[in-house]
Amino acid sequence: MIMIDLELIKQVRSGNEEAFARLLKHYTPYVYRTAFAFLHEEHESEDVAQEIFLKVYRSIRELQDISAFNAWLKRIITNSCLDRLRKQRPTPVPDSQLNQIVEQNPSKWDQHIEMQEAINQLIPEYREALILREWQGYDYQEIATLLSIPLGTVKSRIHGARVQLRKILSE
Amino acid sequence: MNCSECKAHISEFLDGELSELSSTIVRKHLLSCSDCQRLADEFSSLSFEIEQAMDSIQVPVDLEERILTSIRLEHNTASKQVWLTGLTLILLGIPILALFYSFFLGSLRLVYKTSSVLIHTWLTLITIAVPPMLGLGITLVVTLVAALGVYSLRALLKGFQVNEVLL
Repeated sequence: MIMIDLELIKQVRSGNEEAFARLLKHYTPYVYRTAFAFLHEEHESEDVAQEIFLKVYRSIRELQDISAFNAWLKRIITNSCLDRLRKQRPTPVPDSQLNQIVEQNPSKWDQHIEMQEAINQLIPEYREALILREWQGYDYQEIATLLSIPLGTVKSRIHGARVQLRKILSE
Repeated sequence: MNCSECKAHISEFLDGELSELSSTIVRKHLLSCSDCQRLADEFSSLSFEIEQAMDSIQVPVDLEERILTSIRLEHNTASKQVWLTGLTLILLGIPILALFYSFFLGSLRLVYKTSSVLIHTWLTLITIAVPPMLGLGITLVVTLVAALGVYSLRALLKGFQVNEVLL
């Protein structure tokens, strides 16, 4: 995520609509792509993207340190996506069963599968940990806090996700 | 370090999550083991490919415009609500004020009289009990403490709002 001009954020905070439109233009691709990576559903991703920008619009004046805007926005994006995922997924799968599930459901897609599709085939627990690490750039401790899981679980989920992804792509 | 130990820690190594010592041990093993080195290379290229795949997700062309429209709508609705709430309060307030105006007037008079007496007493005490400069100093300190109290309360309430948004 590329940092936007701080002056523009100041203008948005002062209620400048044109500045907000420019901010929206700058961040929409990142916000939508992150939502799509988590949710893999076009309509849901658009809905979450809209919800995220509405939160930004309503609360940007409350942001104390504007240089922390990117981290603040990233947190809003992540929390909104994870909240939506939790609503979609009523019962999380225990970590001890994650490997078994993949083994029990062998995939049928062809050799030239796209990375996007391969990521989508990962178990949700693996997928969200991998996206948080690879796309959003959070470190393991931050991921543990965001997902409310132990650090050891983060390590095993990220490693498991990479092993699974490699396996899927090689099939 | 053997291969299975190395492979178990390879993700942490690539993500910079291992300690200095553990990283050195993994690095040494990778230099001597082509199998583990291949896995490390594959994981590294996965990271690059994931980023490329994410960047290639097509963003709907009119999404920005739709988001902007919905935010404008929400803004207009919120403004209308503020006006309506204000109007309702005024309409409700007028009869209440008419009914209890003598009570409100009495309360205002009481507040005015109490503050006048307090200020007068304070000034008299300060002038009699302490030298003028010290009295001025004490008055300034008391005013500053009161202002700081109001500011802290405001900052505290602002802080709560930010947390609410982030959650």
